[in-house]
Amino acid sequence: MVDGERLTADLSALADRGARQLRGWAWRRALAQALSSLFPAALVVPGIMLLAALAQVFGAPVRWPLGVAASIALALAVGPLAVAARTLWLFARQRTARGVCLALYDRGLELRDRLQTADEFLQSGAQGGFERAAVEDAAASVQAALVAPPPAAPATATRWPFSRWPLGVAAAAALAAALLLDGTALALTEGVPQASDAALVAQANAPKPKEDAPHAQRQRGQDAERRASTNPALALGAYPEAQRTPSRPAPAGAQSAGSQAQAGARAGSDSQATAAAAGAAGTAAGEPPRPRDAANRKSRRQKPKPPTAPDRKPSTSGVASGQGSSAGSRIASSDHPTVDNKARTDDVDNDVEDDAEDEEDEAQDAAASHRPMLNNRKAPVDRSLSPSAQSDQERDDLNGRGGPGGLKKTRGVAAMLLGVPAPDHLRGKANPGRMKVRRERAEPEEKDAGLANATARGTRDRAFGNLAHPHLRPWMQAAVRDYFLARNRAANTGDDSTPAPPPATQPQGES
Amino acid sequence: MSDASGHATLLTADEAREQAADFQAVCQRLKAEVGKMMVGQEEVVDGALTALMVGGHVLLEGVPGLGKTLLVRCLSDAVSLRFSRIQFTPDMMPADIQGTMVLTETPGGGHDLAFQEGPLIANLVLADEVNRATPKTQSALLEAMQERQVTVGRRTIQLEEPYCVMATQNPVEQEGTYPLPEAQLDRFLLKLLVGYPAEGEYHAILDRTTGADTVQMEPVADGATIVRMRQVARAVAEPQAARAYAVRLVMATQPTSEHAPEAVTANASLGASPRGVQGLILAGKVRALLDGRFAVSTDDIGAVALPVLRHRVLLNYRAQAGNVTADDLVGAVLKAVPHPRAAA
Repeated sequence: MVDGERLTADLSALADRGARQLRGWAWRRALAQALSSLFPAALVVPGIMLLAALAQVFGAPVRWPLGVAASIALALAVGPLAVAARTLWLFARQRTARGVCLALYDRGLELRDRLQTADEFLQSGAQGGFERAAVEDAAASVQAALVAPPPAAPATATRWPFSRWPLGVAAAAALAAALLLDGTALALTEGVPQASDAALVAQANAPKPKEDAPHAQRQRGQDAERRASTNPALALGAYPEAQRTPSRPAPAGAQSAGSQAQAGARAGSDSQATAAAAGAAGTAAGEPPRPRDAANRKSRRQKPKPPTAPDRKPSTSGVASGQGSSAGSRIASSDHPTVDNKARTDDVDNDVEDDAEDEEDEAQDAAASHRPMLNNRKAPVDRSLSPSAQSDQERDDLNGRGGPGGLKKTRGVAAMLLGVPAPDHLRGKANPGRMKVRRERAEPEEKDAGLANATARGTRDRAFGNLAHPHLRPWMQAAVRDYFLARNRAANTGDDSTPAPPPATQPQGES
Repeated sequence: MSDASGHATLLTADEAREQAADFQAVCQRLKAEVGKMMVGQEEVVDGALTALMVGGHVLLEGVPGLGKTLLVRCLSDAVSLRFSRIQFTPDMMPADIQGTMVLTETPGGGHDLAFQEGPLIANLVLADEVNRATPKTQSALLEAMQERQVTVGRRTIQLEEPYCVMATQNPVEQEGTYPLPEAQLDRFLLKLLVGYPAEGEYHAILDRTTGADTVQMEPVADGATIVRMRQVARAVAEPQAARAYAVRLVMATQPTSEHAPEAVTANASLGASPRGVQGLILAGKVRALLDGRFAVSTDDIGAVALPVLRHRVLLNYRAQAGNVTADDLVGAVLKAVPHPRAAA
């Protein structure tokens, strides 16, 4: 008989020894678990640095407070610090179970779980015969374990988190990128002298070298003539429009550019990028109205009309003029005075070479305001005559007038081509669809035919058989039959008198 | 342990020790008697005895000539049980093994229909080359193996305990065979692989089989002894550690389980059922008794895991294409599942 209390005490002593033995194992186990957070933690500082550098590049007033060396040191230190902290936390959390401590002896002394089993049965108070036998069987093993040296704790292989190496690479890359961006931002903000508002205004108002106005005017006039000769549409539409277009003191686009430049100049003191933008835009803002524009308008006003222009009356047909798709649209849009005035006031760009396209846009705008359903914002017509690598079918923005290129888009219907049969549209007759008539010449051929000789058939020697009397009514047939039967009867009796025909009994209703 | 009325009776530790010693002695005698004919194959003999002692069935698989049928015949000779042998063929019908109604002559000169028992109704049934029968005939074994009864028409026959089916199958001659359905495979407690004997065992086989002397076997146990040994085996204590380990092992064979290792998830289409846990514990109890212990240990569970689980893991096409066997998967499970209270 085994004393249960004493055995329980011995098992508790073994469990305590096992727990002390397993303390190092618990540390290693916690470390092995905590190592998985090494690379994720190492990514934190470079990530924050990268975000700060990006924000600085984009103008946000954010600055990473540490220097390069301190940043690298911090980035390298965060990972091990996080692992250490998590190791401490895991070690403090884990409680080595009593069964695990006894299992150390069971495995070390090859006791086949005798100590664990006995401890469990003692704790639960099992009363079965085999349970008690198992407890008594373990008593000798407990005594042997108490005197035996404590078995070595199982070696826990430290699992380095190599599977998460991409996070480490990402951390290094983020650190490098953050340092690079930070350096670039520093160079941009500190290396370029910041221009004040007054300097920018002075730079913008600085007079530019004057252009030889008469020479430029003459040169532009020659260019306009040359373009008009190559493009009759310009000769028809562009010149009258140019003559009708009044000059304005300052283009709206230039005013908007000036306002943008002023805003940019205000923001330029904060960042280098905005300062550069302000400098570039400020030049355009402070520029007076270009003499080139005035000369251009003057030359167009003075330019004689082409000889054919006054004779040709503009077509009022939108179809003929090609609504909004060619220079002829000027003529079509001129039918609407309000639209035309609006187009005239909206004309901003005075360059001759851009007139046609601007007029198209104006025509579309006018049509959009006057007829909203025609607000077709298609891409402008490509007038480039240079062959391109893409065919017109590939370039969907073209409308078939893309100059020398690939396949043109189809105009018209197939019936307009010779040789293609057009289906008939006859009232009351279904359209047979396309027909293909094929004529073949066939010459008559002579063929041999066998001769048929007539043969003598002789006299008839038998009855014809039953003959149908489709045209006789039944009562007529009955009368004929009775007549001949009576005649035969008379011939058989030797009476040669011709029998009288039986009275024809015509039924009622028959005629 | 329970008495004749079915109530559990509390044993003393000494009685438990006596019963365990009796169990060991019976098993040793049976092993020695079978060893007169069987040479080697220690694990197979232990497995067959284990199944016999806990009321399970055994599936023996091996190439021809390795003594599968001889082992079962020797066991039936060593235990004076009602033995019958069924040689399964493709044209065999369920009535051929269960029994059928036959026309018999009555003493008065008349005729009557009487039920004639089939070979399935016995204590120890050898189902030789069970995979040669059609699934229809194979399924006739299901009721007998699980419910220990045979139903023919309206007649239900309770089979006498101990009842044990020991089936053999040949893994190489697969043409014209019908693989056992999973429902029937699951009913076998153990699947034992019979391998080639060692070189020294060949000499012993020649001595016993090619000489003039014939080996005479004698029964060393009877049915009542086997039934009593079954009660002893079931009374062995099972601590929580062993039970949890068995449950984890079985769950790890199921590909959808969270405990399944990668090999099982990739290569298994079906895992072990709760019958697998029962088999692990029961086989582990026999092993503990034979080892002189009174409680199952996790080592016992791990030792019997392979024969208990290998036929319950159904491989998928990927495993078949990659020559992955069920033994590989069970080995992976044993490596992946830690002992419940083990420190490492």
